[in-house]
Amino acid sequence: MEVTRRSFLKHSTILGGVAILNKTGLFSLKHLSPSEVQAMEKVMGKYEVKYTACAMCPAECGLEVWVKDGRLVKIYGNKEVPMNDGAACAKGASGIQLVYSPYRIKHPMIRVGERGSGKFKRVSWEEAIDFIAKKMLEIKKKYGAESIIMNCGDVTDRDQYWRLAFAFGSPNCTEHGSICDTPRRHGPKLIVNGKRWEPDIMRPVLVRQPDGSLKKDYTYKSKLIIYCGWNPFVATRIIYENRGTVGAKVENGCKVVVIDPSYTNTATAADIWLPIRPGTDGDLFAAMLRYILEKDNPNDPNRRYIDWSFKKYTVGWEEFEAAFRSWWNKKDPINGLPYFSLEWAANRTGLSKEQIKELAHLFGITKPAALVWGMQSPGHHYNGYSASIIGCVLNIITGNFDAPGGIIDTEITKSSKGGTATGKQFLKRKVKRIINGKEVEGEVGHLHMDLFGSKYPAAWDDVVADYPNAFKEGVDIRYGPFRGYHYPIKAHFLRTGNSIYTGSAPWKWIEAVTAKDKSGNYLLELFVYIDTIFLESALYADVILPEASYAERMSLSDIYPSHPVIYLRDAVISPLYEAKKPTEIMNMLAKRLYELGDPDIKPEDFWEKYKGEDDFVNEMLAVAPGRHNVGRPLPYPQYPEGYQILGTPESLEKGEVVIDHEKKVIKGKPVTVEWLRRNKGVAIWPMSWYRYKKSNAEEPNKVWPYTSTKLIELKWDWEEGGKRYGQYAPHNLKIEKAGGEVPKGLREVGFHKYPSTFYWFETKWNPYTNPEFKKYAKEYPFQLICGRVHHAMSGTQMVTWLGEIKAEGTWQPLNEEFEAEVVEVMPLSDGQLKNIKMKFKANTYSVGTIWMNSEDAKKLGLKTGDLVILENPLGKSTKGKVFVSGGIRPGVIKIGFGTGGRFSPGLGPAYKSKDYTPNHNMLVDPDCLSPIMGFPCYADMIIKVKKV
Amino acid sequence: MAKKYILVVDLRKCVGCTSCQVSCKMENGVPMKVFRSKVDITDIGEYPSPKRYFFPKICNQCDDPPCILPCPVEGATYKREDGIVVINKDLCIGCGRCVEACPYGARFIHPYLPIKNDPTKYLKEVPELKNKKVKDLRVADKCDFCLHRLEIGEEPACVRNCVGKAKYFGDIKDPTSSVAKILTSLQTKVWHPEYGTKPIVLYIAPDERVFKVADGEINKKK
Repeated sequence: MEVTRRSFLKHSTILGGVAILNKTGLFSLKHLSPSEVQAMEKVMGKYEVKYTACAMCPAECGLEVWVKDGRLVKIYGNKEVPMNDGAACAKGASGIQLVYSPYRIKHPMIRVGERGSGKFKRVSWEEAIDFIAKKMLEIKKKYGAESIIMNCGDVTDRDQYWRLAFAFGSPNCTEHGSICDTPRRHGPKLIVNGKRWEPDIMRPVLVRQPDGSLKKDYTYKSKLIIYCGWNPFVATRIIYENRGTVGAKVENGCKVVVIDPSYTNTATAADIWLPIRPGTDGDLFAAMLRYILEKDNPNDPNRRYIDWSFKKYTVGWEEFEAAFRSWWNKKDPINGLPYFSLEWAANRTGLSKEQIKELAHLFGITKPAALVWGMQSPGHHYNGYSASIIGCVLNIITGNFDAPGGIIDTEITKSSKGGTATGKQFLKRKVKRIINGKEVEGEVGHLHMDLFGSKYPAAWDDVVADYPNAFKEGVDIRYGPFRGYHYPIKAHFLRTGNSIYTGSAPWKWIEAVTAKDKSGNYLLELFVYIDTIFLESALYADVILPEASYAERMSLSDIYPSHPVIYLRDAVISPLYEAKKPTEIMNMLAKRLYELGDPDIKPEDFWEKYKGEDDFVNEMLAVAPGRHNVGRPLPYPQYPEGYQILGTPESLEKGEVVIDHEKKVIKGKPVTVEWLRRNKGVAIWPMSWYRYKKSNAEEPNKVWPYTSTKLIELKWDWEEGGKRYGQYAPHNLKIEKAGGEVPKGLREVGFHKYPSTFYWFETKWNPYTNPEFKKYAKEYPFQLICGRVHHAMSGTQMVTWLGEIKAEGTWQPLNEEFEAEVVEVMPLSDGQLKNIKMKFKANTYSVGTIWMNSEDAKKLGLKTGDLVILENPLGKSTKGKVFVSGGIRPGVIKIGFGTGGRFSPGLGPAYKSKDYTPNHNMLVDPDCLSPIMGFPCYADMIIKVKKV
Repeated sequence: MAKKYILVVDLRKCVGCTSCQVSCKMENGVPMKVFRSKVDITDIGEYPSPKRYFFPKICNQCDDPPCILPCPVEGATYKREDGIVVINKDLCIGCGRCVEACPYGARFIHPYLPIKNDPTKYLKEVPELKNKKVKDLRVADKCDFCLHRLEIGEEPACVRNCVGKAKYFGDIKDPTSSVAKILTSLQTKVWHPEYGTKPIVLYIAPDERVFKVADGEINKKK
């Protein structure tokens, strides 16, 4: 600042004259020179405006892009898309630095060195596809098609690859959801067959008016939002929670509470920040529920917490409440206090009794409100299931579920997509396997490694749990018709993901993919990597295929809005280098498999059917929106209530529909790529609330939610009239048919089957809540948590504009001097890009850092920028520089997910800092997998800190 | 009637996402290490009462701009009738005086754009250029509210892409504009009013400490 003030003063004498000059009219006031205007018009006139969906992160915002001479040059938010309402975040706007990155994969490659050596030779597409197809057929012949895992990573437009794998005969298709936040989604899944609950703050929403018209409504209704371990400002999965949170606050006086051990960017907007001890979110929720149940009084306006009408729309409350209350008199072995009491929760959460009481009261009394839990709390802990379940119940009994300004299950409200294109129908195909010398027939789907495997048979939602263990041990089928069958995992297709680095502990992954048999052959016989960018996992691949970037391929947005919305990811530019689109890759591989004699791949299912990518996407769109005409106001009062809705908003509005009263379907004209292109890429159907109620009566409509009873279910396995109900019922049936054999996950927590209602067990690696780990507390005084840094996630660190920004304490300009290639826009060549080698001085570019409390740092003699080693009780460690601030709870250390230790040269600048940036996953216990879904517990760990 | 543009930044709605900074780079091809628009993020305070400030900064398009008078070339930089302070890159000789003069660090010497004007004509007035080679001279650059977008009826890129909807841009003379409406009901502040530069970038800032704790210049001077 000193320099500025001096230079300012230097000119202040001249400045004194400005006012006088101004008055005399000598001050330059003129327009651009004619040549400038001409140049500008020329430039602006050449742009082509297109609409697409971002994929720089899984928020997948709607984009308006400007293309010039076939080049992507400008990126803005699409104003017609309510998710992002015309805005694009820093990462979205920086997309051109990824699309035109020098670090992209430019052509197919086949490995020539050992796995991990990074030695590849350039090959033709034909050669690469032939190599893969031959290997696939060899594996199918020797071990069965199920030995192939199709892992479609972090980007959700993966239907082409799934279709191919399903048709080939493997049920083991997955995507990043399997390692994302499965415990967090569990409550919604059990209770409403949903997934992610988000506050009702997506604005605008399209709402039916009393006069029959549709209006974009921008008004916020929320009065209280509690974010627990959820940081939408930095982990921007649900983009509207940015503008919605501050919008509701400023425009509607909404209170915001953030519960998080670290002072997140979201916490900057909070009225109350509660720095809770990691892994105790469920404890806090349980205490809130107990307090609300104990203190609720319908006759006292200051204690009217519960909206008892919820009972009309739910089943199982009595069972749930009884199971919950049954803990109240038990004493917790770790502190001798009764479960779920205020003092018990205070002891475990590190918050005060007063804080917990006030929070419970505030939530009970404020309406509408939303209690939201996220990726970083229940999502990352072994016992996150209970937190997620109690979170749902708190929202339901207080009358906030699907209420205006309350909380919305975005899974069961968003538009359907995929349909038959995804190829799940192939799972029904009959196959035979020999078990103990006997031939057994079943369906392809019955070979699923988890749904019928020995460990996590309730791992629903296309989750594939427990890799890389399965690579080493193979799969034991213990449930269903193939009970007793064993098969190995022999091929791993990884598309737009980075499992080696992000799917639990990298060292364990590397062990699994490099393990060899006695003759020196890799046990995993095929590893295919398909992506636009070269991440760590590529180093271990046998074949690398360059996929068209998100700007070069077509698919659909995968989003979590408050009502049905779908938009096109259009191919706005042609694929660069030798990259190919997923539909073409699918067809090429299918054709080669067919030519080589695979009996399951048929031309009419692939290249004859999908001549272009629009054919595929049109089939995906055929099921849109697929939701029902329910809620208030009724989306389509002109049509029968409770019927399923299909077709374009336009045809539904115009009455161009066929109504099938038998199937209860209202069918308009199908949404197509062509229709979307005519409508700025997006289709939007009307919003409604209270979708579980009849529109004109206070009773359930028995259509929505899509549970076994079409009611909100608080019990998950029961029998009535000879029929089994509830979300756990099919999984318990599998166990019963297998003679009561208990899967590994349940055995770990002492359960014999999936519980029929409320349950509780402790998390792992937490010395403050689980007596088993108390002994580690002294030697390992820090709890380690991680959080997403939107700007620096696993796959985008070659984007240098994002290195010029910082986020919280985990992405800070603490680099050492380095040189790297960067993409610069060259103003003289009309927006052309150029790769330039650039030197960066120390402390000018953001890298992954270790966030630490300032008191803790003082005790250890540490200051910001000091290099430390973090070590866990398993003897694993990682290295990085500390960022010291008062913004994190003492005894807690936070690392960004995927920010440091980047050992792939394809990461550009981030690769240069790999030796002094932390990789959080190095410290994850790969054998600590949450017991129901087999999910790696990313935030259950303790560590010690050593100065280097 | 000529327009008079202003920009209002509502710090109550800034989510610290830095989209304005990156969108500006994308829109205007701003090179690495220099900025037309930048977000300062500063952490202060001790546990359990920490505080983090987000301060999105941009050229203030001052009504009394200290950057214009030092310019030795008439018309190379000027304030337009609509309030925007611009650089005529055909005339700029890259002497850097305007860069030095801006107390906010809003101007920088563009690392790639060579000057077009002949600097030798000005050597008498600008002796500091004597030791420099013409081929090494680069023009000054700064925010112009995305003038090229305004000309076609679009808002500046940083306003368009603002994730928190924290930026309002428009014509203060138009009573129906969002900026005019906001100014009738809300108080605004400016960054360093004591400089007397009369910024037309106004901030809704309930916590004025932001101006003191997140006080770095947009571009650091050499």
